[in-house]
Amino acid sequence: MAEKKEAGSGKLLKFILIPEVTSLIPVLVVAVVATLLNPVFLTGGNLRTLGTSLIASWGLLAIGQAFVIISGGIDVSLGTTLSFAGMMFCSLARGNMPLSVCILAVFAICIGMSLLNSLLILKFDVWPFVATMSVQYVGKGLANVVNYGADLSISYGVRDSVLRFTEVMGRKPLGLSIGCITFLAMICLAQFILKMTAFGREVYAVGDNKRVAKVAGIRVWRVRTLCFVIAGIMTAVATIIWVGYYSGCTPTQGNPWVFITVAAVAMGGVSLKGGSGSLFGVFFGVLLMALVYNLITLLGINANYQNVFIGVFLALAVVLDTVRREKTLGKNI
Amino acid sequence: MKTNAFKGLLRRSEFLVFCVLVAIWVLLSSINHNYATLNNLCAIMKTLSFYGIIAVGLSFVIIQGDSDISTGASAGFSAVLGTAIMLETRCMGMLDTPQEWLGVLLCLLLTMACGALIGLGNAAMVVRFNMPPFIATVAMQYVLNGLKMVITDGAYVYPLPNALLSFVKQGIPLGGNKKIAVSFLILLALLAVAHYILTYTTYGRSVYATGGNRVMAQLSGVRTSYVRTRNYMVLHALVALVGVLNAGYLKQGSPGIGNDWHMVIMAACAIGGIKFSGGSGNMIGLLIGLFTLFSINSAIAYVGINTFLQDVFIGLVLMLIVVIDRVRSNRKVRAQ
Amino acid sequence: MSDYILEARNITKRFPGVLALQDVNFNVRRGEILGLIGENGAGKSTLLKIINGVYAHGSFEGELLFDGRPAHNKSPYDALSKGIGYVPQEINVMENLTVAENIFVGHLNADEKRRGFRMGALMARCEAFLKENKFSLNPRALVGGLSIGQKQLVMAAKAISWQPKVLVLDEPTTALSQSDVENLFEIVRHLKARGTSIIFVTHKLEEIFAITDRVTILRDGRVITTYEREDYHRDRIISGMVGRELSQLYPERHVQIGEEVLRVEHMTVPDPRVLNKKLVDDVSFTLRRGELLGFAGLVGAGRTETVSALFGSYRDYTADVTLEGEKVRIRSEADAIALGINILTEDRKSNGLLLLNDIKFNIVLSNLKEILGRARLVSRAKEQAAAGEFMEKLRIKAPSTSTMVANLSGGNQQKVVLAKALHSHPRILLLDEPTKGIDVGSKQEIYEIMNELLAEGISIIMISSELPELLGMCDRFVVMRGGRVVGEMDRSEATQERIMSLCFA
Repeated sequence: MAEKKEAGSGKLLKFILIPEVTSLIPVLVVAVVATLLNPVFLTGGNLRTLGTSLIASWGLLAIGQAFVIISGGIDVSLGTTLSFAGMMFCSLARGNMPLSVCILAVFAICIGMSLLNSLLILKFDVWPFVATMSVQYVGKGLANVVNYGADLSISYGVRDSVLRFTEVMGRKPLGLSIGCITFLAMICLAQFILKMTAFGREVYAVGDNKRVAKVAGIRVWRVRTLCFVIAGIMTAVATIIWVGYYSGCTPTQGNPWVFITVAAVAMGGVSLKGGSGSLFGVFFGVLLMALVYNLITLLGINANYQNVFIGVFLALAVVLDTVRREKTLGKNI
Repeated sequence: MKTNAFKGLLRRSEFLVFCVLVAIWVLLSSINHNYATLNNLCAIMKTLSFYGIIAVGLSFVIIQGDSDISTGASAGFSAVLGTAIMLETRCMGMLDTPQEWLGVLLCLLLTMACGALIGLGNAAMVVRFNMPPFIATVAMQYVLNGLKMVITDGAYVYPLPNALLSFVKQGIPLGGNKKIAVSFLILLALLAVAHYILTYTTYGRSVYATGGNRVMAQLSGVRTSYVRTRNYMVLHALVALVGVLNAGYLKQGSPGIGNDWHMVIMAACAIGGIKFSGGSGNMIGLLIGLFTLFSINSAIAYVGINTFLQDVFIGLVLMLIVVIDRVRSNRKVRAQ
Repeated sequence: MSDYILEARNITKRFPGVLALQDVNFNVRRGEILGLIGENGAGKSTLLKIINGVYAHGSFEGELLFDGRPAHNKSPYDALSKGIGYVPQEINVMENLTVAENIFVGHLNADEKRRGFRMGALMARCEAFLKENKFSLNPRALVGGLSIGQKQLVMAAKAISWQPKVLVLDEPTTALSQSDVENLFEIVRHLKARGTSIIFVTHKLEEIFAITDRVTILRDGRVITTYEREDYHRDRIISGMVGRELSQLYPERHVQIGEEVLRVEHMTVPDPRVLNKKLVDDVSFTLRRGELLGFAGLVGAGRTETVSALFGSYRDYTADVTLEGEKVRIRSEADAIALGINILTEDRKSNGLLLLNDIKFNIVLSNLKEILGRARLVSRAKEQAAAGEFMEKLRIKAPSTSTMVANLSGGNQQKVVLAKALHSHPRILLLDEPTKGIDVGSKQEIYEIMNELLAEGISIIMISSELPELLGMCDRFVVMRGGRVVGEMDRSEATQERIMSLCFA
């Protein structure tokens, strides 16, 4: 009964604020700017580099991060967990362990860290950022402990199965890396889960308002824990993809990646307060990060500007989100 | 009553941490004879002083109810910026002259002013735009990390003015070649000033008020926006100071300075009783916390455990402290 | 010089759809203690907000005079500096500062500010102040460590430190122990002796009798009357609070009430935050099929807690619950929903609706199982059908089921929450203030819907602070006070006075 009458410009603003649209715009802007600055940008050869395993790893982590953020939390330990799991994989491989054991170890570590996160946040009621930050630091240390701070390669001194594994991971069926294909598959699966299953609904409900979800009979603990576990699984997959492609791991491999994922998720229209957003938008967020990375390399700009962009995008995304929330909630805040 | 005061003392977290500190020293001195020496003590004091100075500034920010993850990145950025300024301007034209120290000082002040601007940037995001402090300061961290590398392109700023290098080597000699480092003295002075401000001045009390109950503080006439902004600026000015000093100590303006410092500093604050929820904590606790954290770090090295476990340890300590704090605050209150 | 320190003339305050105060006239004499009494929703808090400046001059009609002159209060601070002190009901203190700082921060004298903050001097000043005003508080104590009652006293001391000419105390004794109450009375009497006027808002009649010189009764936004002390009479006051004509707002109902479906015995809910305190203390009641049971009581009586505990929202509570003859244990909301119980919680915006989503998402939330289709995936068709059915049945007015709930009016929002509860096919429905903050038209519709549900054999427990609503709709009543059941009565025996009398101590 109290529908607001909207002027034309109001409607336009509302359209722009749709998460998927807001996440697409920067992508288009960057793409246009990039092409203007260096026409090589739009060539097939260049675009293919976007499909590297590096970006695929970012993307997989971002999927996990999205689940956690939509359910109302945040996880800054994903990057160091990847480093630790990756180092462990390599260490075991070099210790002549079969491939299956290495892979199992990766999953064990990643899921273990996720469960630790959930324990701290759900049982002990620690703030998600602080809790996952402490886990991040633990992971960082453990990644260094594995090989006394040195990198590990798995191109030699490992079993045949492992060598075959790295060979397979290096292939590019259809011109896209295995990692990229996995990422695309996973993001479709994840979007499917969020929109088409009851669990997905519960994730949105819990992120929107825990109290309301609880009163509706949703088991909030279980939903949030599962989201962390999903993040853990995605991290494990990302680790395996990366280690396979790179044939090794460094102790700080994934550490800078976690905030790329937060920025990607935030720019992808997922509200950092939880309860809204879709992986469709996250895809564009990851694409944005990838484009910027690519652009910087292409233009020969100092690679460190990437970090600056991450910071700026993060701040920008928060501000956009606040505006969007105010519009949606209106007088109901 | 005396017994009640004593019981109150026992319950205070600072006292418990102090006991842990003493226990560490007792335990370690029996394991490794070199631990409980003046040498080690001086080394610990020097190491902790850099983090400690920043921790004092961060304490104000945490007590007021905010937080800041960009301290490390800011230190690195300021280290690089400060030393670069010194060399580019040839210490304001006084390089290699007897007045070199004056030039260094001026460059240092300039860097601290830039630090204050960084703090202002953080405050703008957190106070003015109401962004969650963790996310906002992480954004700043990334920006600073990027910019600092852009300035130096990964290279070190070298060589540094002699005045700076020799200043960092100063200290109170304690016989042999041991001395209490000048950075530690600065820390002590800062702690004393901070303690005085927090306990005896209106400004200090308003910091507690802002952190305890911001709305209430505002209604009582406290200018919370001003207080919060000011503390962020002071924090990053102090960070700039530490960055430059650290560069002097390392004899080069290394962009690696400040890497991951933020965790250590936050852990030190947490052990020191500066609760993340805001509104509580004091400088005495912070000093005890600093010593405890770095004594254990040192202990790990002396016992021969993999030094990389230090990071693991710090993470676990932070985890433990935060959990204990939440459990205690969620405990039932006694009814009337 | 006017006789009255504070005077309200023809004050009217409107909100969208609601008339909170109508033509209110009342006054406070110099040096008197005036009691202000009225049931929930009578307009007390609105009136107080006008007095203490929360509702600034210009946001209401009529005049407020302070000390004979128009008090054009622009803000609470404005009112405070004029001399109108206010002690709110909710505890709001700075836990990590000392008592002295809580009281004086914000108006440290120039000396204290200039020469740095001299703790010693402040403590001395505070000590003198507390002693003079008969407070038994320790200025050096950290407020965080005080009891709730003492915190309330700190807030009172804070207000008094501004040396107001009028002090408003809003339900000051709710959290106070007996000795604290006596301390408070001592303080109040002392203030009166010094010429300060006090407005004492309370729902405890014995306090009105104990300490006030006059009492003003508010009802439905109007001042009914003001009694002088010599005319104090319990029955008169109660009937002043409730004596109203019951309108024909409530639709008729002829439902055959069936057998017992629910029996709750010895329900006790401990306070999760405070030791030795019970939110609900040994409460028992029954419910029959097709019956509308009303829970009456003042805010804080424990009604919401009782109903929430029954719904499984409290982790540790004890009760013997028998549902349709079988003993059941309800340990979570999911348990309750599976057993056929659902709830409409009090604050729909923070507890009832997912504001980031649309109508259909909200409606199907508590029974997601039912909208699953092939392969246990969400079926949009089923969701749409369910939502559409309820939109029709409950007459929810919105363009479509994809309308965002944040854009709905209060009445329609409440219907969406009701639809959500109904979607899980409950046999027992718990409604907590179902018509709060809703326009009259929607209220009527909700009453009709309730009647339809009862006719279908659903049993309802309704919590309401609007006595007329309870009396107009319910078959039976349970009255609660202080976490306990203090009375039960049938529709035939119930009158406003009887219920109100039980609500008020």
